[in-house]
Amino acid sequence: MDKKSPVIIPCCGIDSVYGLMTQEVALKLKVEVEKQAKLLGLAYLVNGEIDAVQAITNTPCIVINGCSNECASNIVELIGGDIDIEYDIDNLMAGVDMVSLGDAVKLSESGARQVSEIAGKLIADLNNTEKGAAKC
Amino acid sequence: MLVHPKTTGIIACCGSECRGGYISRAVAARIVNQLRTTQVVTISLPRLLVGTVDEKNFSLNHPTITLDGCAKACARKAVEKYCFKPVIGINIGDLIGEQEALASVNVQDDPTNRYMSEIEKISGIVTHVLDSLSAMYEKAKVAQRNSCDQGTCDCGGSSCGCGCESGSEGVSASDQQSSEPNIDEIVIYTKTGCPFCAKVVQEYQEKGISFQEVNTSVHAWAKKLCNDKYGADKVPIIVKDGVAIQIGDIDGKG
Repeated sequence: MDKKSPVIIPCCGIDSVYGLMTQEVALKLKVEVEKQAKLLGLAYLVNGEIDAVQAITNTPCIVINGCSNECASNIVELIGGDIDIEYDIDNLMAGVDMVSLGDAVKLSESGARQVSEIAGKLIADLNNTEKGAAKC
Repeated sequence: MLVHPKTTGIIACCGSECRGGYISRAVAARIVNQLRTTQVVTISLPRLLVGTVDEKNFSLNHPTITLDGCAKACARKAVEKYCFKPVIGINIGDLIGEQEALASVNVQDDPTNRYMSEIEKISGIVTHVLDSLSAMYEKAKVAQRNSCDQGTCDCGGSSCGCGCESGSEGVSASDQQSSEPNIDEIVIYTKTGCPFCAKVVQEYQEKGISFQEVNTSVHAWAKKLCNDKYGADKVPIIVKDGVAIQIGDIDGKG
């Protein structure tokens, strides 16, 4: 069966700045790859309703986790989704002082800069990777 | 025995694919981190499904308000499905308009100011709801203390920590009101935890219109009055010169 256009699923976790960064990265990504991919809220998948399951069935999922709990990946896997690309913001930010990025409410200048850099990297990955799993 | 929670929970849908979801996250984060830091706690919605035992029992341990971006009500449904029914479910689409809530997030806007006026407005409504809930718990606590004083308490002895020795202190004058308020004033009849009531109260406060708020959850006579005199089974009810000029919010929701 042919796969559909990919969906971007950020965790948007409310606990820390990493969750906020996943949201902002996903929003930037959506603008850049609007014709290639669409954004899907994780909350929509949590209930496991039929239409949510259908939304990710045979659809490559680009998952953006905030922290090592990897809620977005776990939920997608739990309801039978196919993760093509998976990012963890805390891995990408290893060595960067978390406080310097802002907090759960607001990004600092440094946080906003990091979001732009991560989004740029993801866009490059998306353009280079048509299919296949990659773990970053 | 009544349980008086120290903290209320809030769980937002945080869906970034639409404006309502984006606002839900921003509002919940502001409330927990800035506006009601000691009274309100939160967790991310997915933790109800893939979290620890404590996280999965979140709404069992904290009376929880869900904050959804749109009528899909993913957060409310998830809390109901995986844990204990939320005490209040707020849909931001009801407050800013469902069409507006479902619109895409404008990414070109500066993220530090994106939808700030809507976020501040909804934050005000949700904090009003939270405060009315806290007041209800506080009132129940005072009522239980009074019952203890009168020997009619159901706490089962001193181990409940209900503070029997405190007597009847803490009952405010407004809580003791037992009859219809002055009809020369605008009266807004509300209910604990009602976001439509909070919205109307906020609008009147912003416009500087003086009014008296009467909570029908607190005053049984007020609830009866709303039913008998105004024929209304929903709130808010705005009464001017003894006449109900609005029932429900501006769209009739309540």
